[in-house]
Amino acid sequence: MPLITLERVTKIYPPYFRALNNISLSIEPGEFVLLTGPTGAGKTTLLKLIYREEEPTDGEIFWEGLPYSSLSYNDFLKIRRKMGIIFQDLKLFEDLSVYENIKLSLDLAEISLPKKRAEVIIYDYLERFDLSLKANKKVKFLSGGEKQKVGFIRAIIRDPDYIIADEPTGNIDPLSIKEILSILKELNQKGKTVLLATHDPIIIQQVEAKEIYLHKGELIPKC
Amino acid sequence: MLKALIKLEFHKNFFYYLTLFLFIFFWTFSCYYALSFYSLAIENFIKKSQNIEIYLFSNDKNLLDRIKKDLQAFVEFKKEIDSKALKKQIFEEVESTNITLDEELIPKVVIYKIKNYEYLQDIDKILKQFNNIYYIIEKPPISPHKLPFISIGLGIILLIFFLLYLALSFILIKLLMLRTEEETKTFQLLGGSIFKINLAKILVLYLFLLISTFLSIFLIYLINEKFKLLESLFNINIKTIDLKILSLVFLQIFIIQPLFILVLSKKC
Repeated sequence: MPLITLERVTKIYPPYFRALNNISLSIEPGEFVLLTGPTGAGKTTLLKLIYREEEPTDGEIFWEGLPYSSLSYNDFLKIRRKMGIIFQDLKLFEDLSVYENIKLSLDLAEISLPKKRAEVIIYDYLERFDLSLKANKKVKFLSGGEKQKVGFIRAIIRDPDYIIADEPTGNIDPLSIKEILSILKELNQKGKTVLLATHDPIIIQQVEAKEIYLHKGELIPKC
Repeated sequence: MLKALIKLEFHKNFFYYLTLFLFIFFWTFSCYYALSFYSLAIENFIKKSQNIEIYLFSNDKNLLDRIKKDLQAFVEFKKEIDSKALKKQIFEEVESTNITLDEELIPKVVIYKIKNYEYLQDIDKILKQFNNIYYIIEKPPISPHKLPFISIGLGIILLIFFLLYLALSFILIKLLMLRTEEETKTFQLLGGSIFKINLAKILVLYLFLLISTFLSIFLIYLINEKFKLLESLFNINIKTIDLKILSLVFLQIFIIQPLFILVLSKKC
């Protein structure tokens, strides 16, 4: 059974902007899916519909065969706790430190680890991305690239079953992009489902994955 | 999680909390003085409304003594039938002096103060029995019958004041909720339950309100004790720690703050 299924999904923003038009697709558990297309193609909208930040104007989305319309608020909370989302606008808490932002993600996922163990895991990731010295720095004082790394760590620290990444490499240096891709591949090999939206051709070349190409809100079949 | 939320709340909304604190302080401050003036005014009205002053003018000392005896007999009679009268002195001779009236020297003036307004008619009847006496009964400026209306009027003003405070507080708190709406949305997207998030926010707010209340009352205490503000401005001495202060504390902690929590919980 597919993990996520979209059936003739359309999203129209008022007054009349058709961000997605009649999209039907499915994502299997454990798949690595690349969502590609130019800027404004509807990639972010599609991801927002999947993690239910927004609702479709028409059509239905299914999670493990269950329609979103039948799922309760608590069901979505449970699903989101198993998700690691890297938002395009990052949505970091600017007034909290790097460490606190990451720790909060663990707490919100209701993952209870001993304090020391959590600290070790967080610092391990921070070191991988050269951020360990900035652990206690407020996020608002970080550069764009550093913020993006924090957003990435915050998403994967909770060992999610499903990773949704919306342009996670925009402002990041090539070395860190490599690190991010290697972590995502590693997680995928462990059976995690990865849904990565990008328009970066280098990433598209580097990742062997099922590709979904969007253009002006339409799904374009890849030849 | 709570620690991070508290930190986030204070960092993000520091100026908001500062405004809220100043608001609570000025409200507590003005409410305290409003209550003080209210009780002083009522006390004053009661005092004034219960004093009837009787001026007797006569050259005849015997006549004055007779009147005095009659009035005292009346008071004694009232004391016997009216148990309430026993509790307060209802008849008091204030002064005896000489005055000049219509160019004639009147050697004896006796002023009596009667503290029971309801005896006015009877006293008037007693005095009318004497032919050779000139008397004036000075009624109180405020009739005790009007007293309940005055109390209610002042009470309504206080109530309006209190409702205004509630309305402003509600607007301020609603603004706070709106300010953090984006964060709340992010918390939810990360899998946080909105109930827990709002509960944490409410706890922070409750803690803040408690601290603000006590700090406000402490500041009022300091202002009263150190600067004698009320005394110097209005020549009125009010004890700092009294029922008014206590009633404010109870009002804040047990009525206003739980009311906020109730309103905010409904948003959860």
